[in-house]
This record gives sequence, C-alpha cells and structure tokens, in this order.
Amino acid sequence: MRAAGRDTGTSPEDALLSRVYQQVTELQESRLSAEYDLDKGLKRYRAWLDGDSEHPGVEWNADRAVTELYAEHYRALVRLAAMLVRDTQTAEEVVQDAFVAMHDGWQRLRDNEKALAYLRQAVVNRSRSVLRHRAVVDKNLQKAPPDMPSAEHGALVLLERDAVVAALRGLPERQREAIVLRYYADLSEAEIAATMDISRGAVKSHTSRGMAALRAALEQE
Amino acid sequence: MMAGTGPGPEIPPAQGHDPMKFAEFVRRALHDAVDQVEPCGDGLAPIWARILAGGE
Repeated sequence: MRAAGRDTGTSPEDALLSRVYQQVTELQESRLSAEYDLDKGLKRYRAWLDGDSEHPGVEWNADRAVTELYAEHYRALVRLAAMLVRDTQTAEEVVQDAFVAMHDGWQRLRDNEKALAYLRQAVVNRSRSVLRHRAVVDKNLQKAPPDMPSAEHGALVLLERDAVVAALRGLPERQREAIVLRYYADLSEAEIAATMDISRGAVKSHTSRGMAALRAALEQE
Repeated sequence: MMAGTGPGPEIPPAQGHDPMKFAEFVRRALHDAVDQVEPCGDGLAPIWARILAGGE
C-alpha cells in the first residue's frame, strides 16, 4: 500500500475524515493491493460522501448499488451467513466479500434485483467454502467437530444452545442451506434454486429430506 | 414431547407430525435464534476500502 499524506484536506473536517479513512485502510491492509494509493482512495470516498462522484456511468451505478443494497440488506445477509457459518465476525467478512465481488461484477448485473440474487448466492457459496476450510483445519488440528464456530459471541452462544439450530448443524450441507434459505430467508423455490445453483426439483428434495431429518433429530432428543 | 437443548422452543407432539405446523415451528425457531445476531460495526467502510483498492 502506497504511503499517503496524512492530511489531504484543508479543514479540520477534512483532516478528521482523512485520519479515519487511513485507520480503516490500515485495518484492511492485508487485503489491499501494494499499489493502493490512499490519497486517491480518499478523494473518491469523499466524492462519494458528497454525492459528487467523478466516476459516472457503470462504475457510479455500481457504487450506488453497493450503498443501497448495503443499507437495505447488509444486516439480513450477515444473519443469513451467521446461520450458515455460526460466527458473526466470519459472517461479516463473508458478506463484505460478496459486496466487493458484486461491485466487481456489476457490468454483468446492472440492476439491484439481480445484484441481490448475486449477493445471496455469493454468501451461500462463501459460507460453504468457510465451513469446508474450517473442517480441514480442525481435522488437521484434531480438535473441535468440523464446523464449530471459531469465536464465541454472546448471540452465537445463545444460537448454539437453540435445539433447532443444533439439529440443523447435523444435516448435510445442501439440506441445511435449503432449509435456511426457505424458512429463514423466506425465499421462493425458484429463488433458492438460483441461489444454490440447482434445479427446483433438487430444492424440493433437499428441503423435504432436510425437514424430515430435522424432525427426527428433534424428536430423538 | 421432545425437549430442547437450551432455551429454544419445544415441539408440541401434534406439530411434529403436521408438516405445515412443523414448518412454521422451524421458521419461528430460526428467526428467534438468529435475529439476535447484529453486525459488530460499520461494514460499509471496509467494503469501500477494498473496492477502492481494486478500483485504483
């Protein structure tokens, strides 16, 4: 990451914004390109804050979509991811990754509805990757069962203690995803099919088998 | 009647055998469990930092 002048603005407000922006980017340093220029980034961020973007057209629409979809759906997407990965911090990273990928792919999406479907799909796919990676790491370390959360959090501890969530954890990956998308995210069969990239018939099958297994698991307790 | 492992709702026996009631029970349980989860902070700033990093 390229060094930046600490205070690119002239007013105390500019200086404050500059410092805050620099702190945020420093926290994200491991994910930023070596060529990242803080001054340019700050300038663009300021333009966005002022509603005076120097990047009209596709890029500006992508920027606006990020802002709008974040305001409307970020919390719900984090909860969806938390249900799948059961770790708030990881859930937030998963959703942030999805937003960045959505922005990168805006040329293909071009409207908020498609972008939301893309975000959901990215969240499910990334959550799946997280669980698989966690399973490999845990297997190597020979410690906790495959998809235990990596960090404890108040709400997650409560979540872990919930009988339905606990039973859900024991289901095969696809059945768990289908049930969460159907009964938590309230998606239609067609939306679930698009999100999981499977047929509607497969959605029916995963949901119905998952619900039967869930009921059996709960009744056994 | 099955007992939950914690404070989660229990399944009344009749609901366990009625698909619609069981579906509603699962829906409520999932919402009760995960609606307590709140993002830890402002997620927009890191998203922008990464977008700007890639976009420059």
